[in-house]
Amino acid sequence: MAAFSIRNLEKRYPGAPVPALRDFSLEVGSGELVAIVGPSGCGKSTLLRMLAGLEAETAGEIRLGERVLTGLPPKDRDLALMFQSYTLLPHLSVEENLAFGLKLRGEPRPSRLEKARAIAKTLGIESLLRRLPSEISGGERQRAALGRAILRSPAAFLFDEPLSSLDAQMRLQLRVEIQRLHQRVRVPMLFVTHDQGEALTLGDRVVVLDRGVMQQVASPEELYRRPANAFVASFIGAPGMNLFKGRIETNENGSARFVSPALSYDLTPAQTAAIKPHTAITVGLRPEHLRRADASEALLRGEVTAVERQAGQATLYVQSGDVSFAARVGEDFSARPGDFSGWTFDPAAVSLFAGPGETRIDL
Amino acid sequence: MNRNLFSTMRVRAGITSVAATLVLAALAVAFAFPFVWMLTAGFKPDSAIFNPFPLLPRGLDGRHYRSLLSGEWIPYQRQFLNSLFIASAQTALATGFSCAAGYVFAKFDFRFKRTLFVMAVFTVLIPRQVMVLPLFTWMNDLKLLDTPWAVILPGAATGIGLLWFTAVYHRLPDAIPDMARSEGAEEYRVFWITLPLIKPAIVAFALIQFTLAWQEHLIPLVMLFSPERMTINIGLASLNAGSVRVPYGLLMAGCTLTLIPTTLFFVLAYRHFRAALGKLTEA
Repeated sequence: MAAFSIRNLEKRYPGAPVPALRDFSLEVGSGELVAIVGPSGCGKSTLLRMLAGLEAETAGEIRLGERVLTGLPPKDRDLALMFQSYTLLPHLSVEENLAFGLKLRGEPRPSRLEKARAIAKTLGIESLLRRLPSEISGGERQRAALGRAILRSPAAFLFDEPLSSLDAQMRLQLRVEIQRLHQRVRVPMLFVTHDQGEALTLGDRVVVLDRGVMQQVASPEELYRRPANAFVASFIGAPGMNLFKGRIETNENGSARFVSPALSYDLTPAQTAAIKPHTAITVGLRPEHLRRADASEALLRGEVTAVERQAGQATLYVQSGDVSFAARVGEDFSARPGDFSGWTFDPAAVSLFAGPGETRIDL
Repeated sequence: MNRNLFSTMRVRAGITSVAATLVLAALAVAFAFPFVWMLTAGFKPDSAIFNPFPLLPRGLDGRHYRSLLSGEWIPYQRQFLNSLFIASAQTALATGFSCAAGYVFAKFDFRFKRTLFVMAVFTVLIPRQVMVLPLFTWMNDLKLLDTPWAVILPGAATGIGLLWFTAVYHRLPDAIPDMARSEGAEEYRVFWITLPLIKPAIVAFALIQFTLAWQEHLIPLVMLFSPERMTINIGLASLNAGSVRVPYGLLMAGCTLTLIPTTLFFVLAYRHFRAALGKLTEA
């Protein structure tokens, strides 16, 4: 099976000051699922629409194996595209909707309906075959849309936020369905979402996009542990990494110290070696890296402004002057909004970002 | 609350509703009366026509209908079919063109789109009477005068239709045509696939278009000359104007029959018509 290869893809809309997508290159192996995540307007849907042929690229090349897709109309690209909105045709039964792609390809009715029934069985919607889309739930509609995409065995799958309009439980079910499909069908898959959690769960690799520029492409773990810049750090994670903007000062003994309004601490020797003194840097700390501490040893202090309980743990939102940060605590915590709290952390666990793009300083 | 005041209010509310009912009833009678008269007059002897009462005729006298359909006054059957052909063809063309144009204006970008749209809208504002003379010379040049096409073609493209279908297609989510494309549909097929989704809007437009075409008086009057090519409303009007003794019973019988197609269309399409005014699309 063929791999997706995207080279220097670019999209400029007439009259727009900046390109919607800039110099985007990516290889998606066959059998690989790459999630593309970013805030709205980052260019992720534009990218997908260009891959599908629904929008013309300004520059760049798209290949699928040996085939050059650039310039081909959507129908000749042999890709399946799944949309956020419901796209079942309202006047056709689920069965006929499933077989729709095959109908367009001129497959005779008995054989295409037979295939539709088979796919409905694997998706667990065989009892809905005779129903109209208006008579089934949103999750079932997206399930049927997925079935329609699977049915004609496309060379690649493109998902444009297909889970976004579903309620939480349906979303979970369909996500599992997509993972199953990913296990079974060894073709490239691209999954666009604005939900970083979804991207991290689904993607073999994850691309983070912001304002049309690729910020990082990495495995979910790498992305979480070693974000390439401050944007990725704050975008990935729920809540994202706490960022403290400050400066590097030099202590009397020669070691370096990070100084900012909310947080000051002595850098580790490795960090000191990697950083020039008197530069502006940003320190990033994951909420789970913060530990409660007594006033005497606390590196961070502030008033708890909100408490968010989750299963087995909780997130505290803490305000320290103008800076707010989040801390993850176990479920045995005792804190209420208004409480004063002190926090400490392992200095080796922090991420450091510096320079105009707030890029990561590797140690 | 004071009991007396309460009952006074109730009485007042009662008076208001009685008054409203009376006014509405009077209006209903005023609107319905001409129709009832027309329906019944077709079955009355000529001598009784100008006396609306008794409203119902004594026994059904089919003589006006027989004489009308025999064609001794006007070629009624022929003209009825002319009207049917002209109205149907015009409705089919106008609906088809408007629908396709609306789809393109709503879903595609192209040069001079705005200008063309504004021009189309302006045609709505130009009265028919202004266009009659140029249309006449055109049809003369095309050698189409005194043929049904001289009446059909001027109404085959309408600015209102473009406005209507552009609005309808704006409401159809882009994901539907995009889905069709990525599932493998040719561009023309994509348009075809969207049609069932806007069926209520199509039926509603066709209904209005058919009614307008059926009632059209000016264009057929100018474009058609021979009696056997006339539309039915011109034919009926000629009964009223041409003869010394106006055959009112016959005229009423003709009017009654002429109402049938539009009424039938309306009854059959009403469900869609209501749906169209409600939400325009089924998506």
